[in-house]
Amino acid sequence: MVKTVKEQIEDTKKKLRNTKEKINSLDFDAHWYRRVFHTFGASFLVYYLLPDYDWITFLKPLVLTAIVIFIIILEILRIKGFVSSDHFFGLRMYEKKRIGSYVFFAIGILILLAFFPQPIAVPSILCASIGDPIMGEIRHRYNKRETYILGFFICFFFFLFSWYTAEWFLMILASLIGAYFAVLGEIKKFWWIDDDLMIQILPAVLLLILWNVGIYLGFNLPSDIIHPISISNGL
Amino acid sequence: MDCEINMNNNMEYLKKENNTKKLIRTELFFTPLLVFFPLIVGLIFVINWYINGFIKGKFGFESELLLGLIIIVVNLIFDIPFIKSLIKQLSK
Repeated sequence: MVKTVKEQIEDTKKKLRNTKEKINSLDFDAHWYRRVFHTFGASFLVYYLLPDYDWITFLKPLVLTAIVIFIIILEILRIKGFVSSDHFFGLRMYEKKRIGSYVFFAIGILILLAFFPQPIAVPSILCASIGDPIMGEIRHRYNKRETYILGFFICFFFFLFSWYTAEWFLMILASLIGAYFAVLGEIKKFWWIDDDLMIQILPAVLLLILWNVGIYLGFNLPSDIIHPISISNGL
Repeated sequence: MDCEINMNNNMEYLKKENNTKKLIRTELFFTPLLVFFPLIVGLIFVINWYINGFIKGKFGFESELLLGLIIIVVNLIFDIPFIKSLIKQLSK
């Protein structure tokens, strides 16, 4: 049976529509995969729950460093072409020949957990792992202005509850600085450095300065908000 | 200029007809870890608060309760559409 020209055009249109739907569904899938990968980052806060017991205290920074080194090696192999980018689900087009955002994300978390006081590291990690995907979703549905305003309040809340044991004006000041620079870290896009690192490190560095000024001036700084599990008493 | 183009294509992911299977395989491999681990961590925070803050009455564990609930709720909010999209993808 020979198809008419009109039928052939209709067939081609149908095929194009199917292909487009297929690509769009994959986009949608990768989109949620990236979001879930972000929120997974909050799990790294389990680091602070690990008991302060001699071998655990010794081992936990080593394990953390080993995970990040593994990710970096894997990324080098991917960029050099030894491992195919096809295996990296959710990778963006511009990340094909650049370091993937998950590497920046992991490095940021490692730096915060290893070198920053807990009241700075916890909200900064939350901004990247929870604030960032929420801002992404708001941006996806509304406009940029609403994204930044809501993003600011979400990050402000994270800093507020992490600094609640500090003096009230220090708590407000830290929350304002932290939230402002977390959103700024998210807004500013650079090709060579990812916002997943900026959103964590930018507020953390500025709060570390505030922290040291606080020590120098004798202010009441916040205490740790996560307490290690005690081995002797179970949890 | 290159940077500008890349940023404009922010939502574009690597995709080819022939790599879909590989990508889905990677996604499936990580799914249990991505979905369950944060929920377990959130639950440990809540249990730590319950034992030390609620039963033993120690001060300073409220933040752990809040943190645990934030981790659980936010992860569930993002897990549900993710799993839905994964099921949809697998059924094709």
